[in-house]
Amino acid sequence: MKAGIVITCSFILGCSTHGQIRSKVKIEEPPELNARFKGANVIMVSLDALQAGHVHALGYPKDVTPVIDRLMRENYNFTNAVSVSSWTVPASMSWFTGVLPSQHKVVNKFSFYDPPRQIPSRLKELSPNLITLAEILKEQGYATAAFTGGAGVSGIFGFNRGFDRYVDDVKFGSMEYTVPKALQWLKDNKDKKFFLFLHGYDVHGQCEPSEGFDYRYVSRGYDGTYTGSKKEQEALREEGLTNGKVELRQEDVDFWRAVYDEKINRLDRKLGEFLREVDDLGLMRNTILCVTSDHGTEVYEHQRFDHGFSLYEELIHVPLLIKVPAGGRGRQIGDQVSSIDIMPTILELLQIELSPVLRSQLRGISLVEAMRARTVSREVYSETDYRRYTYKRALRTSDGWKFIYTLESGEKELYNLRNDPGERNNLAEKEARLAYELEQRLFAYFKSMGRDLSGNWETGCYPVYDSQAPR
Amino acid sequence: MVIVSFFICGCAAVTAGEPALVNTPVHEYTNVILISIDTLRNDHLGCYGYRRKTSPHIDRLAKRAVLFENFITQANLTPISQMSILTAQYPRANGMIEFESSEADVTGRRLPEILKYYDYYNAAFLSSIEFYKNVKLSRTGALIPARSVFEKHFDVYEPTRKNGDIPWDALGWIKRNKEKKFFLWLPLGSVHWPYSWMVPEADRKVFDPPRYSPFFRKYGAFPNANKDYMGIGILSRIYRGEYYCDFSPAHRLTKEDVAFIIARYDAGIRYTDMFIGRLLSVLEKQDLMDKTLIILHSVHGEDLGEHGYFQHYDIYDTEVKNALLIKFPGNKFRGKRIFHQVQGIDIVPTLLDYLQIPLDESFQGRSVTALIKNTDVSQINEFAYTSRIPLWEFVLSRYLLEWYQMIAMPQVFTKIESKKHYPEMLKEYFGTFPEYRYPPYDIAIRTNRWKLLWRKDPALQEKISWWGFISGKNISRKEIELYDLTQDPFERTDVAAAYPEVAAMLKEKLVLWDNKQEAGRSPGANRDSRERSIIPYP
Repeated sequence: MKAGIVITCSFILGCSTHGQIRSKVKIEEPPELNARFKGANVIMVSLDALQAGHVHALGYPKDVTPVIDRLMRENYNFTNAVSVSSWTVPASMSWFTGVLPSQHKVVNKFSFYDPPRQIPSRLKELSPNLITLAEILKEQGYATAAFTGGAGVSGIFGFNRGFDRYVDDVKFGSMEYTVPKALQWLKDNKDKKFFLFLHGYDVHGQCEPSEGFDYRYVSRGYDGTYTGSKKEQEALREEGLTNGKVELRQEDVDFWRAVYDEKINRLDRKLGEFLREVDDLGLMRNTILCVTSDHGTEVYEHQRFDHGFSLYEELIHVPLLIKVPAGGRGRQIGDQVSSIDIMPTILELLQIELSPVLRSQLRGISLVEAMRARTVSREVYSETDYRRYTYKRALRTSDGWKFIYTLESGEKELYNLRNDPGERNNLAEKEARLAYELEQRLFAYFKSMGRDLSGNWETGCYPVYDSQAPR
Repeated sequence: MVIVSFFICGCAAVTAGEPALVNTPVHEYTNVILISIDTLRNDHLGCYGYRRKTSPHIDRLAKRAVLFENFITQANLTPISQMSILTAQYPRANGMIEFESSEADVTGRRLPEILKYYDYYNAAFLSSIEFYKNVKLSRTGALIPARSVFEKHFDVYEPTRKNGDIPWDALGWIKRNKEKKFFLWLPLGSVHWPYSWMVPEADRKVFDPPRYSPFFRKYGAFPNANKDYMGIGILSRIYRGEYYCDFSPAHRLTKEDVAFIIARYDAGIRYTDMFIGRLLSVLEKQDLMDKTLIILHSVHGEDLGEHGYFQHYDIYDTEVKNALLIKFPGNKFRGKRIFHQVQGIDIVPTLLDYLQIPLDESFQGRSVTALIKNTDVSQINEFAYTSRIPLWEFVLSRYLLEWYQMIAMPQVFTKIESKKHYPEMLKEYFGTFPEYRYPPYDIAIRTNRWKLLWRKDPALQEKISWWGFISGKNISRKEIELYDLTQDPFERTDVAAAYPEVAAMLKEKLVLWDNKQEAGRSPGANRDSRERSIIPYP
């Protein structure tokens, strides 16, 4: 055991009086985060496809996330965290590389796609020079393991780099599958310093609870024909892509929201079980925990289902919380931050010196300053290349504007998130000057990564070899 | 972002001469006038060294302006060159690649659109028909949609009452709108052929050789041949000093004939210059000079016999090296002459840079402010690129030739039955009129010293050459031509063989540029309809 003092951890069951005292202290004297956690363990949890807007602590009216809510209240909760992408592969790869999808280039499942020839995207080939978080931690002597639901986080894309063990042998697996394996690995490795990546598709459209739904949030009189199955979800998803939107009755929309809530609630409970077990193993007091999701889910907010095809808030606003072993008392942080900030934050918390190569690689910023109540708010960028269906790039300003540019059509969207959080009122023409200036910033940002958005859009797959470059 | 809006109402308060409010962006209080003169050769202006008094008023403007000695436009044809200037993009990127390009084809963002974002009142008074006269092609039914392509984003868009005449109405408009912050575009077509046709008789003849009678009057009833000005009907039948009728040389041009052609060309400049004089005095009287930035440029030049024709047919410097003056408010940088070459696509970035408006990231041109200020010039493009739009082969065949065939051919081309019609000849080589629009067969790269022309298919050009058609001669074309502009500014001596390494280096650069332009070709109207194979899920 690394840490000398045994603390009875109150992190799950922490009493409310403590919380009150803490908030008083915060007002009088902002607590300084002790960012010296050299050698601490790291657990990173991806609640795949969890929309920030469905988390109670982030404003969702229904109390579906008691475990996450408490974690958020008592730790560093980033209420305005934006994912770099709206689907699993590119978004998740950015956590581990600290760069935007345009830079790690794993933006599609294929780097070349012209059936029957399909070359899967592999980080090693697309971006041979990038260093991953797991590689760094492994080099620092960490035991590294990942337990994932496969599919978009399959090791083949390069996610397995730096991991001693990478579990991805199920497709759209949930935490019902990954948590027991992860706990077993923790038991086997608890005397080492470790990095664990835990992932589950529990709330994803292509995942159902093994015991079936109990429809705990569905209103009694629901008279529709939907059951919440992944088959139905798939049909709705494809219909939305084909027709641009799906026509549904409000009752059916409510039903799908209720199904989503049930999945979230079940995941929340599972997460609680996992963390209790980790705590019981005595690991929590020396572990940095980061819980987030790679992207959200659309449940008819813009008349579609699923994710990947847009960059609206329901897809890119994600939960992000960080728990540190001790010395940090938690804070609600409203600054706008990006999912590429997670890697530099973890590295700073662990006091790992950045090599010049790594320093020039990382595009995000460490959020430790934000955890110390200093503002770090800034413009953040998101992008999606989705199944060759659409190619979008977006910029979200720190003062609440969002500009979305669709490459294949040149369509521009501008939303004032402060008074139009649902992104219904496109102000690109009305606020033409702002739209123009944001467009230039967006283009300049991607140009700085070597991606020129002007002129022709590319076919969507990054060439692995020069001979595949689009002519 | 929000900060910008604080300044929106600040402009009206700033009067001429008053120092600008600190931190107020320049665009808040600066008018812009863009004078685009068609077919204007810079070496026929006093400020560029011409001896004849063609341009006293432009010269007066030049004294207060920055003058660019080597200003290279992106094409030899009006709408294409102009759209490159307005979008700061090469033709293939902005989508304006030929006369027939439609509004939907042109995807590049133009200057008036950007200025609109910054609350400019946009007005255009035009005399160049290329920007307003929609022409329907009789045989193909295709439309040259000039007006709809160019009028976008203008609050006022007024062609002259008489085609090709000076847009006099602009002067009254300035007086009436002097309180507004405006962008005024003045495309002037009065130098273009038919040379000086709208110039009043007395002014038309000022430079004529004494007691001269036009040579072409003797040769058949050509449309307007009874008048003494020269349109395409006459000019297109002059090649290498011969005037051709019915596929044979009818008249060898004398020195006097050439002097007459140039005299009439110059009379058009002089007439246009009078308008510039009127414009300047209106601006002075209305006290607008100090809050107005004036850009005067030529859209393309004109070969006046240097390469055998009187036309803007190719991409020699006579056609693509042009006039450019930028007069800044307060006559800043006055009298400065810039020798480093700049391009048509650099104008708008330079203007926006001065106005403190963010540049469009899609611009291919660059601000040349550094050249003007003598600061870091490393950002200035070393190379300029220009493309020949195959006017004769792709435009005239569908437009003017149709017209001439109907109206004039029977009289002019009596031997036409023994020859193939020119459009039929083209069809033979291109199939039914090419779906592949604007073949960029001839492109050029230019440095301050060298110019390399690359004709991708010289054999084809020899076959379809208009000059070959009209003269019945074999016209020979080379794939590569290299000129040392310092020794040979009129590009008469090809030195490709003498400087193989220079030719190879420039060719390589040019190929790179060409490939890039091809890859970045504007998707135009078809942008959203391209086939996409959606990758199956997951």
